[in-house]
Amino acid sequence: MKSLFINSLFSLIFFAGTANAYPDLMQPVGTSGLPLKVFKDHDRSDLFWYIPISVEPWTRDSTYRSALFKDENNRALSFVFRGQPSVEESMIREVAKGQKVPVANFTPIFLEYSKDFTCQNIYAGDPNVTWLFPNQIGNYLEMVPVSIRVKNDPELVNEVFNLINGGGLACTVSVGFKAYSMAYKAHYNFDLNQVYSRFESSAHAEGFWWEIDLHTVLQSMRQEGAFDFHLDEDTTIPTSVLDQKMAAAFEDLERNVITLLFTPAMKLPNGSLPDRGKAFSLRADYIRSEQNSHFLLKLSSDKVTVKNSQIGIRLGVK
Amino acid sequence: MKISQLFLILFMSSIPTIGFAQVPVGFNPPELNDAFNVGRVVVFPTVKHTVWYSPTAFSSEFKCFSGTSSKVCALKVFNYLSDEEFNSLKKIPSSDQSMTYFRDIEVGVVSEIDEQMTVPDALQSTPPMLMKTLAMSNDFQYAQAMSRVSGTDAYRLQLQYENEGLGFFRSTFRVSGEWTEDYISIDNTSKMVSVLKELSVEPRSLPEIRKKIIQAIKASPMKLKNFSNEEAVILAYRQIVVKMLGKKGDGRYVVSAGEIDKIGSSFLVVNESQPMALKCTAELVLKKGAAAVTRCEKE
Repeated sequence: MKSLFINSLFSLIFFAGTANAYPDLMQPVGTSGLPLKVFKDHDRSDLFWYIPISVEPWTRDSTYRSALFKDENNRALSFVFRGQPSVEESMIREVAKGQKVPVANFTPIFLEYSKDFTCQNIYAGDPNVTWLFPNQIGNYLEMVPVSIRVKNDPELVNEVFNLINGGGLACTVSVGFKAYSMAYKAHYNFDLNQVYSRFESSAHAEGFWWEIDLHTVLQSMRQEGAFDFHLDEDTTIPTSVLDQKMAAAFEDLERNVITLLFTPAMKLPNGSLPDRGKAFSLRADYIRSEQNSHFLLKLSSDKVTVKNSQIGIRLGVK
Repeated sequence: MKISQLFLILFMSSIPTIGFAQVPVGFNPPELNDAFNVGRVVVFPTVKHTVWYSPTAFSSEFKCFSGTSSKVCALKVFNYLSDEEFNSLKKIPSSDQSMTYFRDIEVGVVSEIDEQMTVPDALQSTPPMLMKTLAMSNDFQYAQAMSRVSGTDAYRLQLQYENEGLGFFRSTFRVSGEWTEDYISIDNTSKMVSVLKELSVEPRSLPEIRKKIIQAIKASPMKLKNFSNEEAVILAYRQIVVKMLGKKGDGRYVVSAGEIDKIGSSFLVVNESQPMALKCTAELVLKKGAAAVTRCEKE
């Protein structure tokens, strides 16, 4: 297989030079339809990250590689797998060409963890087959310590030998990596004319609105469902964190509505000022329009999170 | 579109584009309005930047290996494009070759991925392997059912695979994107900025400004949906006059440097996009030569 394996030395140099560098999952890179996912670095526009789809058999100088042994009489078989996450080298070259940067600017996403290594063990319960694989297999997946031993059954030994030498055995592992990703994307659809009317009809006698009152009225309208709310969120983020984000998003909505419908009061009422923040006046120049009855406000936020996914491992020798 | 409608949209367009700086300029969700199929995948073209396609190029393969008294049979589902599909996708216009598929890690684009593989009992000695990532690969199988069966069963399964099929593989997921009606964006504002900088130094009359700004707009790359070039140029010109120019006492117009800074590298003139989600189902009959069929519907 023509694959681009991670060169350990290169990776170490690269990661040392790009400490705290993260792929930005909101900046996917076009691959002209190639089956490869590439993302830009969050901070450096000339760096790119790609996601290996599977762990493939690996070799270096023909010395380090997966090992499959079978005795002459087909009485015993032993297999130890070595593999690395990989993608087709030609694909990386084509994407690099499209981006007008060298291939060296592309690096695989660094895995934070791996867990739940699972193989379709069709030999489970067979006393002649010992198939050992750990639940966790390391962060780089450079060495996957899988071993299969078969004994006492020449036919079974041949069967496993052919399977491994053929397409290989399929396993999967859950992995996680850090990346900039969307925490939430919120869309507020509402009738701005109606919001204006609501404030207009309940204006104070003196014509001023205090900041805290604006907040209260808008919260009340939110509870009444005046703001049609559409949310896409990262469900892997803890609820408490997301709640804080959503509170911040509504505060942003409030700020926008206040900017659109109000102006800071130039002349304040007589007497002592209540502790209610700044004073505002409802805009006199607001124009009701059909367009404002379908007002759309987009809010979003991104952050570094650990993204979870799954990759395949093909237990073979080549 | 009539010119009288343009001025309505001019005002309207200044409102829905309020956003926040956190959103990278290059990102745009799939445009769901004009989706169409290319072979097994659904393409979501866009006037903005990225052309997305659904990674649903599923096909299957059934093989049994060695053994005399028993055989190991594997029913594999792959997810990769055929040469014909790949070449068809490459012909779809997109800016900067920005075509890609979406997968599980892209929050806000795809969610709720669920998969099923229904196969005969003889192939269910272990649970089916399901990736549930929508990742594509030319090498690694996306799903698999594997079992040790008798020689007779292996033969029977092979016949069944070649005729009525062994069952089905189904992947369902939710695609979040935009439903865009009207859209005008000027992607490279350098020529417009250059003209506006001149105006910030030397005020001019409206006819002089009109000529220069329209020339700059015409020389800038634009992305359009539901507008002709002529309409787009007029709207962009009007937008700039209304938003950026100020009238002096002598009747000439001037632009402040602060306004020029706001323009950025791209200038959105009209963006009538609404958030929308589609529920998609890709279904593959596990039969020799069968291809997946993908359908997406509004939620």
